[in-house]
Amino acid sequence: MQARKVLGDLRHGRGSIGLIALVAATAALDVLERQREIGVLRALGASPRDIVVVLLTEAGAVVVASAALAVALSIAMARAANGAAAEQLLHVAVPLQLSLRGWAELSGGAIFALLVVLGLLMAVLRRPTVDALNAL
Amino acid sequence: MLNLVAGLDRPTTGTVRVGDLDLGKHGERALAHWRGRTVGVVFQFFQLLPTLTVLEDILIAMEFVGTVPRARRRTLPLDLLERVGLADEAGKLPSLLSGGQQQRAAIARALANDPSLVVADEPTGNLDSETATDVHALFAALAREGKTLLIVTHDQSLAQAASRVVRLKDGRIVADEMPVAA
Repeated sequence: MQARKVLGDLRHGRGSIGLIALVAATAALDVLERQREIGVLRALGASPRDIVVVLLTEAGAVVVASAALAVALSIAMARAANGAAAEQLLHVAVPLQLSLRGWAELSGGAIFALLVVLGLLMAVLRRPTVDALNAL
Repeated sequence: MLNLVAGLDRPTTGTVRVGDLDLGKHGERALAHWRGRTVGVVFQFFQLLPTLTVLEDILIAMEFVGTVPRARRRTLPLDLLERVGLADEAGKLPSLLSGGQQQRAAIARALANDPSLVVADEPTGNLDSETATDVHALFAALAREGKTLLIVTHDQSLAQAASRVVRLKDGRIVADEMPVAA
């Protein structure tokens, strides 16, 4: 029983790491695809730090907006499920409250967001000398 | 060459001096600041940022450098667009403009921080002859104001309007002429 639980946890962990790697790689790819835009920004006088700030701000905004949307949808769905259960099954409604597991998932989400941002940061820092004119 | 002069690239040997500044002696951050204040870059394919309006594109150039006072940033972009004949297009995205309009917008952006040097890479290479003539006139006006223009071009009529023409072949200077009196 204990071994099955450990294996299950490992599977979840492996899945999470794969998902994080996928999103971080996608974020890094976004930076590579935006070499032209980065070249333009450099030509306009943006320092490497300015470019990192622009990209991280955009990534941060996307992460925060996605997280807010996900939380709002989860709450709405839980309420809808509670309502339906209360009407049809009376005593089987799902309580809408944050459990320890909920906090763990929120923490996981925060780590996930942090890794995405780190992926972006690494991609940007690996390309500090974009050849602006040749990139265009 | 334009990369080197604009401080976007570093030479493998030798030094690059622009005015009194030896570009090789400065770090990326200092060069970026110098470039923003001193150099305006015009590209062959315009390179306006596709998600920004023409006005915002000029504003972002001012924002990075920060030398234009905030109050002036409300009026200067429109003044620049007025100068290149695009004041009515300020709120439009680049995709809604013709090639000639995009190049004029790019020139307005290059002038955002009042640079003393404007470098242009084949600025008329993607324009029809009539629109290219408008761009020639804009460059001539900038030169009369005392700005230095460094243009890489195959456009002979643009080259003949320059005070100095340096011909390069396979990376080497083959001629250095002064077609008109400076």
